Amino acid sequence: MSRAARTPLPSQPERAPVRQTGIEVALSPVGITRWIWRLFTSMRFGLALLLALAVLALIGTLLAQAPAAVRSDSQAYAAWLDSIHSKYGGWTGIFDRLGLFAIFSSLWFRALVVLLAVSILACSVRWAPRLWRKAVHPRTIMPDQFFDGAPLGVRMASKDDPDDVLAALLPTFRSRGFHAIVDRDGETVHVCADRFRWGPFGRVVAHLSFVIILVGALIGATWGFRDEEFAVAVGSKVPVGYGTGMSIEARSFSDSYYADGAPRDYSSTLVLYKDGVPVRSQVVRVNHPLRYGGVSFYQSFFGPAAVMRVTDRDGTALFDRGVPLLWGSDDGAHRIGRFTIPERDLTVFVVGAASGEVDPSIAAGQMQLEVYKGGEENPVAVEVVDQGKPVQIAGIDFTFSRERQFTGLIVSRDPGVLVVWIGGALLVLGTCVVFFFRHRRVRAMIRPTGAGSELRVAATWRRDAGFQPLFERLVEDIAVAFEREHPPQLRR
Amino acid sequence: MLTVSEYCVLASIVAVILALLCYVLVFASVRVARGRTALAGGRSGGGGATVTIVRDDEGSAGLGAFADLTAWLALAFLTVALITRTIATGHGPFANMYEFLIAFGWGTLAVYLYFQHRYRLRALAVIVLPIALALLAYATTIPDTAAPLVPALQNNLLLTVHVAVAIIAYGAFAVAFAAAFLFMIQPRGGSSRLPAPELLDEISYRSVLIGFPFLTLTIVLGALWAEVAWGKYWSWDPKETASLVTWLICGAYLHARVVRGWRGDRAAWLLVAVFVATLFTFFGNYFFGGLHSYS
Repeated sequence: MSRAARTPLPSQPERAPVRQTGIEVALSPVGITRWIWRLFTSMRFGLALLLALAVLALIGTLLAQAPAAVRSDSQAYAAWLDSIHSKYGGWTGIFDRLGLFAIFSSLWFRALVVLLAVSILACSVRWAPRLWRKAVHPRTIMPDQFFDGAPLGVRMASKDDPDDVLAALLPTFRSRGFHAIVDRDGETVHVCADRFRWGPFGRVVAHLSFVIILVGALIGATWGFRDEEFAVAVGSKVPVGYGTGMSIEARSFSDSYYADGAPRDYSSTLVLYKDGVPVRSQVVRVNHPLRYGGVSFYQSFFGPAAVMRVTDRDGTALFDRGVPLLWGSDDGAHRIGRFTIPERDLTVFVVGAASGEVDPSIAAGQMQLEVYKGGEENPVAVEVVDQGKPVQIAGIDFTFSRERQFTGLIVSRDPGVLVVWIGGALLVLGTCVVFFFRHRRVRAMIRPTGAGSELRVAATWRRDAGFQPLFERLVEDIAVAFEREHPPQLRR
Repeated sequence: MLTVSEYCVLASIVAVILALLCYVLVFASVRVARGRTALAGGRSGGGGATVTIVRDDEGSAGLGAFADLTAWLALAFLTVALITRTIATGHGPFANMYEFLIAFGWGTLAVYLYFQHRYRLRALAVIVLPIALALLAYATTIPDTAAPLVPALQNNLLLTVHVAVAIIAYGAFAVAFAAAFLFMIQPRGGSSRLPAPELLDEISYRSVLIGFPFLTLTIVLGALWAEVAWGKYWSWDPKETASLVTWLICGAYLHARVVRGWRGDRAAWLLVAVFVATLFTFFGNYFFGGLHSYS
């Protein structure tokens, strides 16, 4: 009964060959549809997409990428291109035309991401039902040839009849974590035992989670908003906008440093108003954002602000707030802020000397005001004003009361972020399940013989060297459960 | 405490050098055992995967065991170095390049020793230990001052977990690279000096099985942290993007393994690319700016 003359075993059972794509295309709607289906469900295509995305992302780390704020302003973008011209020379124009300076919003990148998502969905549609069938309704009755040819296999004999053998076998499978399905083919009992039979679904989960993350990113980009330059001068209250009905008042800001000059802490005390009512007061610092009603406020930057008071002839205040000097001048010598007086159709630029810079025309305690009317090119007036001294421009009084700090916040609402977190969690979960809970299937067949019954246990495996030790431990357990006088003949 | 940590790093470097010398000697003496071990290392359908070539050679077995011991010692020293540094600084030892290098070296040694423990495959050491040695030696050349944390890093939990998980992934990719490298330099038909190609392929794959989930977790935790600290879960920051490149190539490798025509050498090349991308991610801030500038 033992196989005296061993036939050479297949050393590595090969996976069913992956179907070649796009060799013959029948030029009919059905033919083309089939070709597209084959393309998107082909592993080779997925592999090519992954590598192409990797190449584009690599380019994105190697080439300078234009910030989003620069890209949205054609003048700023032209200046930005000029600034990198020294680095890339004649290539600058070519790279720009290929979209390589904004690669992650380029057509190439987006097209590849969409293709990958479609490919993942197609593969999931193709494979998930098969995995389901394989896990829930496996083929239970296997022919003798399977047991003859399986790379892992063992035979044992027992004096008991098949049902007693089965009764001894099932607890052994269970104790090793196998879920067993029993079927009968006449007198013969067949067992299909699976360990981690849901493991392969981790692959589907991991793949689909990629699509979920993309959906989350899309939701955020479509219905969210993001303001990276939301600056509030200490003592002022600024509306958030974007239809939120929220305003932020900065009560204080502080920046502290270690002895070596490295930053230690940036913190702002903020009060959040919703429809004019204060709803939240919190100290916001890096790593501790303020969150309310789906909107988050993050500490991001800070700088000087000029508190400006603008009054009418009859003393009515037209503007009374700190103006954050948000921008630096090109030469770095000045800080520039801007505010508007809609009632008079005026735009006012406030220019101060940058810290550490000495400018004889704008001394400490002074600000230069440039006042523009409507869309006119030339200013109505350019005046340097002293702190606390009102100046009359365009028939109204401008007073620079004092210098304060402003706190710069990122304000964002991202309704997709939860979806992204779910996708991220599923991605981690899916990969861990695939890699740490491998599905293993062992089959057994119990057949009555004249003297009792014969038990055969066998398994195949694909590139899974960890299976053999497990199989051997299982077989040892089974052997222990049987009479000792029939030692198993283990075959490799 | 910091001084203790620095001495431990030096001790670890000495131990790694010693271990490497022993491993090289073992590796060089394998030839002697060729005739005897041809059968043991022969075809076993993947089943005899745990059989190593040096096992039968008594002379080098003693030396090999000594090399293993020294490598474990190096890991122990590095562990002490990292722990003492954590105690001294009050945060996970992952806040500047010096600390990252020590941790990377630790991860490389740890993953190597795990595989050495499981598969008794000393040939890997000839590639892995020089990598660990280079990381540690480089660490001694850069400032090791324990600077306090800048505001963005003041998140002890995420700092520790995000980087610790990354270090394991990086270590796994270093081992995967070593196995792929040995796989590729093998002449057709195999070499008696080197482990069987199937075994090397298996080791590469196993390393990636560890590395890939850990890298995924690193990126997801990084996104989580970025949302809290930078206000955006993904900003295409260069280091972020470089880690994505590593992840994509690694994903490509996992698919390549089951695509006809990509198994073997091409898959091994992808692992080389994964490791190069890992190094690029790790040292990236030397080439590009970005939000990760402190690392």
